[in-house]
Amino acid sequence: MEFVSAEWWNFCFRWLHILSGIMWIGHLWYFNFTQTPTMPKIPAELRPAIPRFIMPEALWWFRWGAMSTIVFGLLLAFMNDYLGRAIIIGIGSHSRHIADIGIGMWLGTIMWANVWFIIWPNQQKILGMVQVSDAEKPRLARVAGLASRVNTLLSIPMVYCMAGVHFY
Amino acid sequence: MIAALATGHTGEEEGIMKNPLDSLGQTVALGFVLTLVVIGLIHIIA
Repeated sequence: MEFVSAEWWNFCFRWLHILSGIMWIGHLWYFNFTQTPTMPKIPAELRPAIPRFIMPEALWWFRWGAMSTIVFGLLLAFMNDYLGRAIIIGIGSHSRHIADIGIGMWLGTIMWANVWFIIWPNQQKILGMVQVSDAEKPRLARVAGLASRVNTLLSIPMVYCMAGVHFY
Repeated sequence: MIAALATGHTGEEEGIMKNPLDSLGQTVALGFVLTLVVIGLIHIIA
C-alpha cells in the first residue's frame, strides 16, 4: 500500500470514520447508561456541576463527533462508488452488502439529524445558552431525553450494519 | 414515539400509555428486536 494511494486515503477515512463514531456513540451511551440513571443519586449541592461543567463539554464532543462521523462516512461511500446505491438501500442491485450498508447509513443519518435538530437545540435552551422561561424547560428536557433514547435504540442495529458489512 | 418527540408528552401522565423508552432495559431490548427486523429486511431486499 503506497502512502498517498487512493487505497491509503480509503483506509485513512475509514479510520477517522471509526474514531469519530466512537467519540459520538461513546458519549451517547455515557448520557444514557451512566449520567441519566445516576443523576437522582447525586447530592443536590453537587448536581449543578453536571449542567454547568460536564454537559457543555460532553455535548460539544457528542455533536461534532456525529458530524465528522457522517462526513467521513459519506466520503467513504463516494470514494468506493456505492453512495447512490446505498441511498436506495440496494434495491435492484441484488447485493446484501449494499442493502446492509444502506440501511446502516440511513439509521446513522436519522441519528445525526436527531442530534443536530432535536437534542442540541433543546439542550441549548435547557442549559441556558438560549433563553427560555423555566416553565418550558421540563418539556424541552423530555423531548431531548426521548430523542436521545431513540438514538440509543437505533445505535444497536446501526452498529450491526456497520460492523457486519464485510459479513454480507 | 413520533408524537412524543413532537410534543414532549407521551400520554403516560394521563395513564393512557407507558413509553418503553423511559426504561433503558426496554430501549436496549427494542434495539435488538429492531436488529432482527433489519437482518430480515437485508435478506428481503437482496
